[in-house]
Amino acid sequence: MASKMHVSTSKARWLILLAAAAFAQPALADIEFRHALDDSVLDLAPIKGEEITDAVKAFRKDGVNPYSGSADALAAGKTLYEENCQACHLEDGRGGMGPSLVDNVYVNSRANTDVGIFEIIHSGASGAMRSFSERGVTQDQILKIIAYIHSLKK
Amino acid sequence: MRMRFIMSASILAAGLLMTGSVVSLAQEVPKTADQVARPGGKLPGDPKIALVKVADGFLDPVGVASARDGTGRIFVVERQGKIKIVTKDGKVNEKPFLDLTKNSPLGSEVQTGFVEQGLWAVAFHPKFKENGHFFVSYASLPFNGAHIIARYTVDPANPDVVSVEHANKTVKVIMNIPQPYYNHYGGGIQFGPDGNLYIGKGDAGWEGDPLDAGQSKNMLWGKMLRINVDTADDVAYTIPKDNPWAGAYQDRMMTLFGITEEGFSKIHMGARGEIWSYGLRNPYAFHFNKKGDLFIAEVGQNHLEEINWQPASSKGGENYGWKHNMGTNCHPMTGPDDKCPIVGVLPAAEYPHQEPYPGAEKLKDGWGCSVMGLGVADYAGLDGAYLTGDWCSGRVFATGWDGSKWQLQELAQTALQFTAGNNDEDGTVLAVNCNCFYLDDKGAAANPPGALWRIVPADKVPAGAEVAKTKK
Repeated sequence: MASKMHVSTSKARWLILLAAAAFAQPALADIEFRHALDDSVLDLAPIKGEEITDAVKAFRKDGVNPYSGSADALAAGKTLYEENCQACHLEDGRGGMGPSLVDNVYVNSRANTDVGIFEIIHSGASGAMRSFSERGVTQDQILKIIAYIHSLKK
Repeated sequence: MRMRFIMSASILAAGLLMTGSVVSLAQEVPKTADQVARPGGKLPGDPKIALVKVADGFLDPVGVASARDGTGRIFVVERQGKIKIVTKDGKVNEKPFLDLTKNSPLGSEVQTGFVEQGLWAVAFHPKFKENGHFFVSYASLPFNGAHIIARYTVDPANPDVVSVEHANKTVKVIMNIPQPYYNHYGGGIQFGPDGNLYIGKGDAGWEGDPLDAGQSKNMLWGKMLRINVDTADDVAYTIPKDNPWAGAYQDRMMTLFGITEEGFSKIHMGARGEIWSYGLRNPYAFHFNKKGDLFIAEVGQNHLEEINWQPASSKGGENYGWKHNMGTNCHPMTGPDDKCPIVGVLPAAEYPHQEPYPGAEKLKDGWGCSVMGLGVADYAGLDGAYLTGDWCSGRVFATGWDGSKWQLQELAQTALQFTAGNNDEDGTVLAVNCNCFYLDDKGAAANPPGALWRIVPADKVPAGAEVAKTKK
């Protein structure tokens, strides 16, 4: 606590600006999700029939996937992965027509975070990596897919 | 001595003034692997482009063409078997121009079971305005996936809709090429400046050309074909007399003596007269420029995509090397330093897949997996460069001659999954993209719709236009 008393004037001004900016944001969109290719802001409006779950709300706030390591979510994620991802990235994620999901070569530089992976699955990246939101995959399902992809990295 | 030096220097300077700052060389097919252009190249003036949306809502658009009849209509080919008209003001006509999904009581005319199957292309007769003939290229459902090229004729009373009845009344089958496997059809068709119909014919599928089709001149697979379609109604097509093997296959009396070796070499028993060039894997799209040069976007196998260039002066007969080579690579490729002879002619340009050879470190830039020819750009400073779009990586590459060598410049990385392109009547390059899958495809009408784009100079984007997402 004491250290806070010793911040320089310029840093204090910066913190005030930062706090002001944070208050200006709508409550739900604490993290700004952007398109992997051109950094344009993503439209995260729910698709037809989609419910924005608590898990999605929490993820949008802090970028932490609440489904990480959850057995139920991993099982659901596996099914979703098989339906939507496996054709190009193969069953173990090593990549085929699409890039590997389990190595450390990131075609899109932000794909090393869950937020970045979410952005790419939701709104697509380039070429054959299309938007899965447009294909009817919900944001809650995307979080389950991400949790499953991490479980493949072993 | 000194005088001579000054004189020769001034002659050299005059030469430079006449030719510009760099001595120009005549455009030619690369003779050695190091002359083949690769990603990282730069075209003179560093041209910049943008993709502007013309229209959307197309189900798996995989082809596009202009009728070049002055109407400004653009014809977008949907894989399911429909051709849609985009009017001059960018509206999509509700009724399709042609609907092959409804012309048979047994169901669709078009086989779409695999994503490489479907209706691929439309090409309008050079005298379409007078005779109303247009040609389509597709995988046939009744003929179990065979590749059919057929001619239809527009009803002058109804120029925007060829009704099922009128289609069935006017159809003339030009070719029916059997297809053993469900991939590598090729499928693109174009009229050349010589008035002949050119057909991009894939090696018939599987992988690695198991039928050795590319190198076998007794097969139509793995070739560029060239036929004359201006024939009597009861003659499907004829073989142009100047095709390289037009008469090489004819039965003849055998003579063994008094013939030169060169004379013997012109006998190719069994060679198909329709063949224009060979050694191709999957030439889905190809385009001519105004001079009559031909660019072929040749879809490669595991590691490389290639762009071939054939000068207008060619008499045909080029061997593009498949399956002995893919671009400058050996096939099968086993490592980075494979050594093998280059068979036939080299491409003008090539670009790698993310894994450029087996076990290679994965590339982060400059890669693709399936090259789609879009068209020749004579604007935006591109000076006749050939534009291609990659299905996997969304990259738009330009293949062009810089005055002394070939260059392959990446113009943009877009979010688009390119499927095809063509030149509009005014020369503008058009492109279409799908939102489709290669594997696990759910059907030709099941994917989110794709769109039609116009490639424009980056500084000529109309106000308010929707521009394709591009990597910054």
